[in-house]
Amino acid sequence: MTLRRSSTPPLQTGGPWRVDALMWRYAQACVTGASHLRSGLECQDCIGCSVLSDGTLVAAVSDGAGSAPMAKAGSAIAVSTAVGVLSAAIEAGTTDLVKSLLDTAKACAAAVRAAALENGCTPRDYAATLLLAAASRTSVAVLQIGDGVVVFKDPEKDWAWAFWPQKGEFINTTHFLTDEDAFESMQVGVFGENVQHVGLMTDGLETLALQFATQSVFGPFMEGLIRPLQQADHLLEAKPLSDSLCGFLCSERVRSRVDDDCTILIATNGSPDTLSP
Amino acid sequence: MTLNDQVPFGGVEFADNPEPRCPCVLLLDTSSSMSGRKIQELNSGLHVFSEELRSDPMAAKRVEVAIVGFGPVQILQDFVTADAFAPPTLVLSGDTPMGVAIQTAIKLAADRKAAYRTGGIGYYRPWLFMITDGAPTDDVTSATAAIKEGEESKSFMFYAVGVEQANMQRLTEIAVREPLKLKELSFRELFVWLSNSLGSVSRSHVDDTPALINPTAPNGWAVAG
Repeated sequence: MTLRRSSTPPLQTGGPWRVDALMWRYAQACVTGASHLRSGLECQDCIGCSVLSDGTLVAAVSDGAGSAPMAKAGSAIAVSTAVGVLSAAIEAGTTDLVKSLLDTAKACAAAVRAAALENGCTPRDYAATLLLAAASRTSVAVLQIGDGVVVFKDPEKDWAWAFWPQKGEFINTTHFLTDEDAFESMQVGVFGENVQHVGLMTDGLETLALQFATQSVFGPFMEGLIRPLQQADHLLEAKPLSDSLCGFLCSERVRSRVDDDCTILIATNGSPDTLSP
Repeated sequence: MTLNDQVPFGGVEFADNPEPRCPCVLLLDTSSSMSGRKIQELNSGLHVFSEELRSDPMAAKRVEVAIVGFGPVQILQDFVTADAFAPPTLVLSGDTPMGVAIQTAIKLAADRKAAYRTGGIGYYRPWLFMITDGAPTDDVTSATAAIKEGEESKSFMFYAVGVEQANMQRLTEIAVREPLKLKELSFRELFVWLSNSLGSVSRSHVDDTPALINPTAPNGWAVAG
């Protein structure tokens, strides 16, 4: 399931994030893992995205904790609050993006706790990770609580990750937005000088997109995903590619490697490649 | 229309990462009291364990098995991935130095975790699974403390199963988790349960607590109390 925010095409307006007519094109997909299908569980990931009037791309993904009964609601609230609050801060002309990210995280935690209270649950029942990014042509600002990864590419450099996925000692442990110490484990930063592509994904796809031994992004995976997007001639979401991406995540090739829910958003701000005839 | 137009993501390459591992140490009593049908059924059970793990493609790649026999304490099988696990045939030996066996198993699991960390390999919390038909013939004070410390720090999970005339009271003193009594000699059922449980763990995702089938249920391999 995806959570989409209605967005307007980028306008050439002023603002602290003064960018030229930036044409973000993106594709997104969020599919239920084979293990959840087998046990009759719904997909516990959520995804959300918005392109602002100044051309900033704001995107978030969240993975609900497996054992949390309200995991799906937790990830949905985290994503919708994250995209909404951060977008509003940027539209209002924030000059301190890191502070805006921190304020957004607090708003997400508060929203989840409020939902828990309203439904007679504990915050832990709504446990979810949160990855949030605000990207322009010159930088990508990232906030992360838990695992999954935000990756980006400078045209002159290799693909890079913002924060390496956080795990506990064991592969099936991480941090959640609802943890008491969430704000201690939270990671925030602004990256890049020249950003052309951005990707956000939950932990299911880490094993395909990252090289664990060298702690690096596996470039060919991201290149393979971005290439069709570079060739697409769409404004904002390339819907046919989102559908293809969904099909790809459900394919035997991916399922034989990944049992978990898979969620990814990929975006590029380059002009569409013109294919030679 | 080119092939790429039809299948935009068809040719995407995947990173080659090692599978995360789910390590399991079996601590098996091979003392002389295990003679006759007991050791035979235990040996059969190990074969069932191996077959069951291999029949689960994800468990086959992720579960790793080691075996510590006692007594004397011997590492009968160092860690091996389930798809390459060929069970050794257990033979009867001496007494029941359970304390040393437990310490050996704890160290084996800790060393394995260190090796995973060095190799950048993810892992699940190790299982230490002891099967005995008697009581310890050595001092278990340190081993008991080590189990308590390991459980409290969530370093591993220690399960004890008593067979026939096993001293369940002693096992309750040694283990943190309540020991279970094997129903007659249903080793086969025990090992099917164990392989299913490890399989569930080995595919569990962040924060999943895999629902393990209750072994004391009517069709289970254990009797309660």
